[in-house]
Amino acid sequence: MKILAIETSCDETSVAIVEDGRRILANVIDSQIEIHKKFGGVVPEIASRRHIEKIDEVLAEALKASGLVLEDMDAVAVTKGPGLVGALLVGVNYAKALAYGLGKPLIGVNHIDGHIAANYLAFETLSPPFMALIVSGGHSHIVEVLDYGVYRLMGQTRDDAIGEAFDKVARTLGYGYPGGPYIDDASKRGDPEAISFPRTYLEKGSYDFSFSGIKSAVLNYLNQQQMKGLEVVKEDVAASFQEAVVEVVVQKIIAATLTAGHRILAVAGGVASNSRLRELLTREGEKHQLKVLFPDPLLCTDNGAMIGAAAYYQSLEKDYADLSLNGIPNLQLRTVDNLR
Amino acid sequence: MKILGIESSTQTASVALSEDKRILGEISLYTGLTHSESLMGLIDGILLKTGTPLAAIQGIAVSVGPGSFTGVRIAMATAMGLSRAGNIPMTGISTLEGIAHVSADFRGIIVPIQDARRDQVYTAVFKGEGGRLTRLEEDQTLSVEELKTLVAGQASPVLLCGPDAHGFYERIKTEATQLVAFINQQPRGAALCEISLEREFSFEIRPNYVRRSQAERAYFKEFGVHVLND
Repeated sequence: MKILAIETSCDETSVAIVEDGRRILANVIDSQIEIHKKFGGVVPEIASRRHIEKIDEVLAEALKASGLVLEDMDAVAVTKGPGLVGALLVGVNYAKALAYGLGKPLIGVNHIDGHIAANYLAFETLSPPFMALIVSGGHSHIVEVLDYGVYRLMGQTRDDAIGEAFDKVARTLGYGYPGGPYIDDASKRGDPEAISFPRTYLEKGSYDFSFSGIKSAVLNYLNQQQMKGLEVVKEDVAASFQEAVVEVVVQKIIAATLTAGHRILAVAGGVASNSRLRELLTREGEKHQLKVLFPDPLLCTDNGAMIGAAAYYQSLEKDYADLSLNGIPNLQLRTVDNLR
Repeated sequence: MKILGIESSTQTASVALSEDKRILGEISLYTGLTHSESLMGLIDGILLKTGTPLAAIQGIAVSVGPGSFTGVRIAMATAMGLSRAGNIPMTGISTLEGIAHVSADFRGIIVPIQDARRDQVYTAVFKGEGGRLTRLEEDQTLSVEELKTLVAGQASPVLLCGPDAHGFYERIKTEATQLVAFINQQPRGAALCEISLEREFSFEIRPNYVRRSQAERAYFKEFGVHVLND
């Protein structure tokens, strides 16, 4: 079964063709990062304008790369949320018209579902149940994957998403956008123990995150140094910040995985590309005989293929959308506690 | 030649189907609800009710703004998806021209307007001559004061038309004596079908936002260059 999958929830316009939820036949991504860099972050209206300008071209490229034609597709899938509403609506309406015109089923996919499903593309034999950590610019979730598309939420952020914290700290330090790669890179030249930033574990037994405290702590530190007339070693600040954040995330996800009794832990989302997270989580995982899976960085960023993978499992359940499908900016993950 | 007209750049969503010069049907919603939810259903409805398979459509006439940025993109994305799936060529038409077209029987100057917020309007100037429209001024953003000056400077009687015509008529009529009438006119899919008869069709359409985003305007002010092309 071949699914044409469209993703326009933030600042990547992507169209992919995925077979049986596991094989990528094409995955074309038009990134807008260079445009948004000029503004120090994603500008929603500009993102939406770029999506409508690019989407048809990106689809044509995906077809060309796969050597297939639209009539070969068995379904059309699209990210329905969460994300920037104007950006989502470009993909949603284009997908609806495509599916209608082709007479094929339409599948509306939750973007977070997609991030988790990226692991099905990266690891052929992976199947639920397993544990998943989703860390990106918009999301920070710890979930048990009970079945395809069925989750139990164990923890999530109470304020900023982890990627947001990276972006904000990077901006404060004068690095570019997006902040993750800059902090990661600078940290390699800095001392992670130079500054002792707080580790926010919240109440005992909680798997939730809070990243706003450490963000403020970095700001306070920089202000204090400035007032004292002391020099700031940016690389040390970056490394110490990253270490504090990664340490908490790793401690929590390992504890949650052990508590839930899973042996496999799949990581997803843009921050899964962070090298320190990969290093520390792999090491801690080994300590507890857990198998920790990280998809390739390309599959960790927003892309159409992951949407196609998630959509395949929805299609098996005949979970189709009708012509009134809308973009849902604050769409929540479907969990056993709030089944749609 | 059968043409599908798609309009969702204002509070109105309207779709129409024409065969040569005849309008076979039109469905409009004035509920102001999200067009994203309703537009595709309206298209399905007009095709079903006129017994027209999508394969029989030879062209799509789509309104490309100015108007709600999101509304413009909903219509465009829908047109592009249908175009791609059915190999149907498209033509993009100014929302303001679509509005003016409905009043083309007026003999004089036709000024379509839309509220662009912040005390501004999207507008253009056309000359109406017994059903034929000639464009005199491009689509643009004007302040209410500038609109008043534009109307007052016309040599022929002026008709103000558009979804927000009444409110602006009241605001400028005393000083702009050329202004003789207004028509509160919603954009219509049928107008797009009619205008498209004299247009070239292709597989590429461009938005006609007229106004850049806030972030872009701020960027231009600071650096003197534009980030996006249009």
